[in-house]
Amino acid sequence: MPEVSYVQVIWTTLAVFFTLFIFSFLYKDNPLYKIAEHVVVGVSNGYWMILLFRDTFKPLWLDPAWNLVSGKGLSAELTIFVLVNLVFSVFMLLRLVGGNAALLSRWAMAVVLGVSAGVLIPLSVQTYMYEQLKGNVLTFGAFPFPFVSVVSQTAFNNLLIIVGSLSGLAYFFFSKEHKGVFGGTAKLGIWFLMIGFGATFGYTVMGRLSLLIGRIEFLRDWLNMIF
Amino acid sequence: MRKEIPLVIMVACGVFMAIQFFVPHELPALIYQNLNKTVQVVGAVALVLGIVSLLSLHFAKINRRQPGYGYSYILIAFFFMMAASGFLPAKVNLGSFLGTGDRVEGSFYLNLYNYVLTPVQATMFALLAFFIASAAFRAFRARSVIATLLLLTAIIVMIGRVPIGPFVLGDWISDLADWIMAVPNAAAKRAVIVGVGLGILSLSLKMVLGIERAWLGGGR
Amino acid sequence: MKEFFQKLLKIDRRWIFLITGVAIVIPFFFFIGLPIKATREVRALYDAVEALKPGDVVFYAPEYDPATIPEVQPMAHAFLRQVFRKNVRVVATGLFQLGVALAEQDLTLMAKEMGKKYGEDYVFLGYKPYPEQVILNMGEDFRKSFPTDYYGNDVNALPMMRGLKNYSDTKMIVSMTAVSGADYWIRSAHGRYNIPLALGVTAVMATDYYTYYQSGQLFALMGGLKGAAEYEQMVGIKGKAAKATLRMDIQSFAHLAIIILVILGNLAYFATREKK
Repeated sequence: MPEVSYVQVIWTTLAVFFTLFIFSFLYKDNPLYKIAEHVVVGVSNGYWMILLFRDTFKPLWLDPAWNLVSGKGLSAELTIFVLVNLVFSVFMLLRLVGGNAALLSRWAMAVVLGVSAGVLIPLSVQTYMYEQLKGNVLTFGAFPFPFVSVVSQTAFNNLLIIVGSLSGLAYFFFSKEHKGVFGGTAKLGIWFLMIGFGATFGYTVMGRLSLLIGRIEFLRDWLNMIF
Repeated sequence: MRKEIPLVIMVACGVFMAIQFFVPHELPALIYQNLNKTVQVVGAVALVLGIVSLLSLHFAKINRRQPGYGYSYILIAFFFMMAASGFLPAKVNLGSFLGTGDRVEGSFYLNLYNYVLTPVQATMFALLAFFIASAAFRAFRARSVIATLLLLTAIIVMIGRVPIGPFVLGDWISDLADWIMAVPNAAAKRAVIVGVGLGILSLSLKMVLGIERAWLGGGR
Repeated sequence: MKEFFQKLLKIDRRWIFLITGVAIVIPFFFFIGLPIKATREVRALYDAVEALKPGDVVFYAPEYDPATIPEVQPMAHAFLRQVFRKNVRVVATGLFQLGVALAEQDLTLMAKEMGKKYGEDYVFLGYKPYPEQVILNMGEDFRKSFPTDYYGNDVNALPMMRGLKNYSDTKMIVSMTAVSGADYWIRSAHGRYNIPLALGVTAVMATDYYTYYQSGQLFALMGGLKGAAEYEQMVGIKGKAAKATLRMDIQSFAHLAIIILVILGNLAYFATREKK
């Protein structure tokens, strides 16, 4: 056992109390749980505040702005950047003022939303459609033998992926009634989707249990620390 | 003009960002990079506004003495304690218990992060293990063929992907679980993801073309 | 018998909580060390790192919060041990707000253990909001979003950053993530800049990303505690440091407990179901 300081023991014991406060919710909702809940909301927002000021505003805006004001000189690119952002940040803050001034915050919001939505148009076509469908055909020719094998990429597996993904898509297509050949395809699609959701459920169980194991490990380590 | 100007700004930014993808030239690249940075700076102001509104909600709760307002004191106290801890200069020392300034080992900042934020957040998620166990017992039924398929897949994956499965039953169970993950599961998720991609694309197009206007708020 | 099952179905859920708790605590007292089988998708990352030359740079993006420490931290530690052992250099960001302090502590701890120097062997750029925009800008130049690193140093003053402009100066991007940040890396880093990308994700997310692995958008994929344990074994981490490997034993028995609950629930359901 490495030496542990008293300070560490006290902090860890505090952490144990918080852990037990949260676990107490399993019996029923209670004030101790609520205390811990409010503590974490307070702490995580305070923590985020640091990241926004110290790690975002300061390096990206305040430092270049200071260089501009103190006459250290700034490239034309950064000067425009500093000024544009000053205007839009003030617009955004006008939301706090309310009334007609708050309408200007929509201008700032428009930049944020427009930029974020605009980049997504080519990227989503590329990532979710082009590359994904490429996955359906590419490997098909590359691994023809053995035809059936569970452990390696095979033509059979690729065929299954093509059939499964297309029939699954058919199931999500609601503009056409699920009847006849199309209905049969959609039904096959449900089978694949169910296997997919089953795998997700199995893995979700794994994930949740891992987190609980981690907490119990923490309590055990604390017991080892104090006794 | 209340809605027109923001719409024009939005469409201009959106169309530029979409087209820029296909234009390998210096000037558009420069504007593109700076617009991305603008989103970070201006968007961060929006995030701060969110935090401010959370705090004002709790201040209002205290002012009106609403039920449970005592918890709001705790929230606000811990908010300011944490926020302050991150701005303390390196030379500050709050004593051997609280820790030092800055964000280094042994700082007040990291003590709050490691011994307050971490246990509460981690345990909240650990609670879900109990709820999923309860759901497994109560809701996970082989009511129909497809429900049985889901249940069987889940069990094969649960047993095949932990060491005890292949140890007791032999390697076939882990091979089967691997195959399920890599083939039928991948196929199903591809169907879902192509669908999600179409959704993202259509929402982005609606925003950029000015068809989606909910963000402008209602009225006038 | 039917009455027993009827009672069983009406049982207070707190009994189920108790059973679950007990089923997880008991295996803590018995360590068996069951063997862990390796999978292709995890080995792909190990092999790719092994093939790197000393001095190469990898881009590392840890984005996990305290809630997912048990699953993701072992991956992060094993990966960092392996790259530092190979004398490969690391540029890292932490783009998930709740995970920045974890990312920093992981890097510092592993670098200390492996005798690595900040600014020469690794750099931590830190946090900026709006990950998609940050990831896109880093594809042009790291300095666009990060004129300074997490500690406030001018990025140009760090020896390692000399000659390191953007992703194309790195060999691969590896993200250990518990959030939708994984999607941003796929579409904005791999999609736009075509850099080899590998992910370590939580078990809850893992199944969704197999389709990206199959299509080649990811060259490797680690999912949950199982993926973490496999990686630890490959890197050769032993004893108490192999946290995921130790947890995997307990995980085995916990899974059995859940399967028993499912079977019991179904038995009770069918035994008490009214015949039509």
